[in-house]
This record gives sequence, C-alpha cells and structure tokens, in this order.
Amino acid sequence: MGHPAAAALLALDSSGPQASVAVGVGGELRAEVVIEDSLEQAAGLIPAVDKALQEAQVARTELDGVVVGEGPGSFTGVRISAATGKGLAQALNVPLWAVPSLLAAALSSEVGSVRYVLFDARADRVYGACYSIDGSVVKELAPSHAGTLSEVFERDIPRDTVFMGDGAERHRTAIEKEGFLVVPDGSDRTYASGLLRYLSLEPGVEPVASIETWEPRYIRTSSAERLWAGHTTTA
Amino acid sequence: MGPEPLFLGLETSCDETAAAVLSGDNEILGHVVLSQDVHEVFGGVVPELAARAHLQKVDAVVNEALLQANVRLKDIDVFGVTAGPGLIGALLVGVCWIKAAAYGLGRPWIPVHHMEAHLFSPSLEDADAEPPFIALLVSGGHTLLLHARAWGDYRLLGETRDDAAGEAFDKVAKRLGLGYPGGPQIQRLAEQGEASRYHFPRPMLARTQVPKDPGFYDFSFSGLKTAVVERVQALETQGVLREEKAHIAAAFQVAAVDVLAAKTMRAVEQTGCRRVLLGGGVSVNSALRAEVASRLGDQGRLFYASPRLSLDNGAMVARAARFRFECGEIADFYSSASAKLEFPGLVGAA
Repeated sequence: MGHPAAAALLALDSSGPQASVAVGVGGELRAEVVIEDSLEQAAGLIPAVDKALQEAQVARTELDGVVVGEGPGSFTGVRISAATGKGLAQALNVPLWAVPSLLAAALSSEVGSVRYVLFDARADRVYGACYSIDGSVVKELAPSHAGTLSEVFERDIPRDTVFMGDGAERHRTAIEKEGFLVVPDGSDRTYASGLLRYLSLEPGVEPVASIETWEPRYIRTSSAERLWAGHTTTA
Repeated sequence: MGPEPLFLGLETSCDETAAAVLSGDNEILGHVVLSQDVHEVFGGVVPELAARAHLQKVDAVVNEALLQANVRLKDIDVFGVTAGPGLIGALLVGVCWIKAAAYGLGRPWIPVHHMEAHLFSPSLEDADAEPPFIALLVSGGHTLLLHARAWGDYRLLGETRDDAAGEAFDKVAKRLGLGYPGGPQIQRLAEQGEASRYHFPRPMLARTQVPKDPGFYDFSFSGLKTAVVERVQALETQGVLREEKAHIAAAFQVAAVDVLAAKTMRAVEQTGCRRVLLGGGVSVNSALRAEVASRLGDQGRLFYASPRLSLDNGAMVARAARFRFECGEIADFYSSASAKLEFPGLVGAA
C-alpha cells in the first residue's frame, strides 16, 4: 500500500544523543527541528513537532502519517519517539511507519556509496548496520546488529566504506587505523529527515501492521536479563 | 467540550499498565489494569523490562478502556497521566504517549502525582471519602502519613526513613521464597501462622512517645526486615524453616501493621481528625485494615478502596487529573515525567 505520493508525513527520531523531528510533503523536506540536549528529548519532542509543523505550514490534522526511528539506540530515547509516534498516530488516526534508526542515519548523509553506521552502545559496544546507497537504490549489506568494534571488523567490509554515527566518532582512531574514512556525524541532515528520505525512496514500504502491537527493535536485551542469563547458565 | 467532559487516566509508573475513562460525575466508564508478569523471576521490578512492557501494551490497554466506555479517543476531553514519582523509563512511556495524543487532538494534558492519585481512589466508590482525613499511603515505593485538610491542601506528618512498607513485604517474601509481589503472599501465609511464636522489633515506636520527639510520625522498615531475614537465616541453618515460615510471616505482618496503625492513631489523636483514609497497594492488606478499624473504633470513619482501585490504576489518575484540571492547572507541552515529582500542595509539618 505504501503512502500517497503527495503525503504529508511527520518523522521523529530520538535514538541517539540528538533528537530530531522533520516534516515532509510529497517527498520534499519542509522543516526539521533538532533537540541538542539528550536530557530534553521527552520534554522537547512535542514542542519540536509543533515548531516543525508551523515551519512547514502543515496543520496536524493534515498529516497522512507518522514515521519513527525504530531503533536500535538509547533504550529510553527509542521509546520516547515510539510512544510519541504511537500516541500521535492513534490521535490523528493515521498510519505509523517504523524505519531502522541506523538506516535513517545513513540516509541523513550524502557522503560515500557504502555507509556503515555505528551508534555508541556504551562499554566499547556499538550498534551497527551497513548500506550501499546508489542514487535512489538502497541495499542493506549488514542488517542492524549489536557487538564490539572488533566484531564489526570481522565482517567483510568493502574498502570504499565510510563510517558515520556517534559510535564511529567515538572509535574514530581505531576505524581510521583499519584504513576507513569516518565522516562527521549528522553533517548534512537530521536522522528524522533520513526517515522521510527512506519513505520517499521506497514509497511502497508498508506501515506497521498494528500500532497496538508494534514495538521498537532494541536489538539488545536489558542488562538485568543478560545478568540473569549469565547467572542461570553458570548455576 | 460537552456538558459532560470525559477524562482519560493513564498509569505507567511501575509495573502496572492501566487506563480508565472517567465521566464528569466521577463514574468509571472503562477500567483496565494489566499487571506485568515479566518481573516475577527477578523477585522485583526490573526498570528496563517495565518500560518495554508498558510500551508494548499501552495502546491495547487504552483502547480496551475506551471500548468499555463505548467512546473513541477523540471523544476524550482531558488527558491525565502519572508523571511521577516512579521509574523514569516507565513514566516516560505514559507521559510521551499522553502528550502526543493530547497534542494530536488539541486537548489539555494533566501530569498527575501518583500518590495524590491514590488519595482519590476511595472517593470513586464512596462520596463521603473527602477531606478532611488522615491519610496513610503505603505502597512498594512510598510510606506517607499526611493530614489532608482539603483536596490539594496536605500537611506531611511522617514518612519512611528507609524502606517503604511494601518494599519490606516484598523483601521478606523473597527471603521466604514466596512470589512477587510479596504483600498478598505474606498475608496468605500469615493466615496459617501464629504471630506470637516470634517477636520482631517495632522500629521508631517506643523511642518516639511524644510529638516533640523527632520521628514521632516517621517510619523505618529496614531494621524490621533485617531482623526477620536474620531469623530466617537461623531457622534455615537449623533446618526448620519450612515448618516456621507461616509463623514468621504472621509475626512480621503483625509488627509492620502495629507500627503503621500506631503512627496513624498518633496522627488521629494529635489532629483530632477521626477520619482516616488508607491508600496504596499495601492498604489492601486485610490485617492493616482490621487493625486501624479496631483502633479507630465506632467514633471514627475509615475509608479505603476496593482492591481494584487500591492497587495502581487509571481511574485514580483520571480523578486526580480532573481535580487539577478544575484548579486550572493545565500543563504546557514542555512538561515531562519526573522520577521524584514533588507532591502538589504538600507542606511539611509546622
């Protein structure tokens, strides 16, 4: 089914330290608003939505759909957009699209044809995904995964790959040592605009089947579950 | 807004995802409480799992409450949600959802204090359950004794200095190998035991006899819990714990209830207010209800809600939201959740 070509869409992403909101109409980016302070994401997301809609001159009731970054990323951050997106979609009675946040990040840049996005997952761990982007054709070379940087380099990575995302920034030295380029994070567009870009490149992509049952892709289990799994396997 | 405004209350502060639709005359039109069972294996609430489970169920819970009320989301006039205190990740799910729904529909949203909401629960079933009253609010996260002179006008008398009462029930239940939450398990087991077999301390009771003593109204459950745990350890070493478990549960419950009831009666005597309200999850404990009723006697009034409104629920949130809405306290969209939200209208003891 996808979305109509002239659709007015609102996109939200708060998977990383910087949250963003974007409004697009008919595949054209009309407004984007950034929340720089990660501690202000929950407080600032709806005001950012309001500001973006005003800048785009789109009334909330004119929206045809809401797009959220489905994660992975900060657990709480991912939920802030997810809960906001669900509440908005229910209230406006419009469909909800969920797009991998790493893909949104890849599409927020114009640099490189093979883009490996790394989000910082703390304690030397990263979330990663790799995409080749050739004009309007997006191919997933490595789906969203969690692991260490060494596990990333165990993968078969094309030599012309560029790395991006706050995880790439954090591990810049190690990545450059492997001979890869690290591009500054979010240098071109916001991740929210990357969500919209994906929907304009892939207009046939389906919204979530059920807003009620949809949940983000955290990729990692909670630390309590990991500790518990360790406890039960060693017991 | 029509002549009969509709209020939605959403609660996600701990491990219950709950929603209710309340009419303008306080009739509960829809009421859904979903208790998360993911925490049982851990013996306590795991914050990240709670937040994930809330997000997984919030839409279904709200939709079911709307269905029961035979209304649609767009028919809701005022959106209330617990904004704190509680687990921040869990609170944020409810707050972000409600803010978005309210914004989408162009309606007001009201952040509600979880413990103030508990004060409203009995009034949803008994129109007389209005201030003035002495309120004992006891749950897994809080133990508060306050004098409610009017709605929104509360004087804090005492609070716990360490563990909450419900937390002590949970920890003792865990040590006895009972399930989570511990309150109902302890109560069930205590009914089969003899409380007089063991004597556990009544913290902050004997040494605080007169109002000028510091902590006259305060509680402490950590020492009681430790005393029980040490006794359980000793019985385990002797290999007789299994036979003694019910007696331990009974003696612990009697000690905890004794302190809660005694402090409540101090407040009654000092304020002259003989109307008492029990709220929060631990207020479901029948031994506590019976003890306070007995000490209060025929001259007083005791209010408490049925279990479905004593435990965390959306109706109390909708009712508190209604009160705050009528006070004109509509939040802007920059407001958010706070794990340590301040109790509105609560002042310290003079």
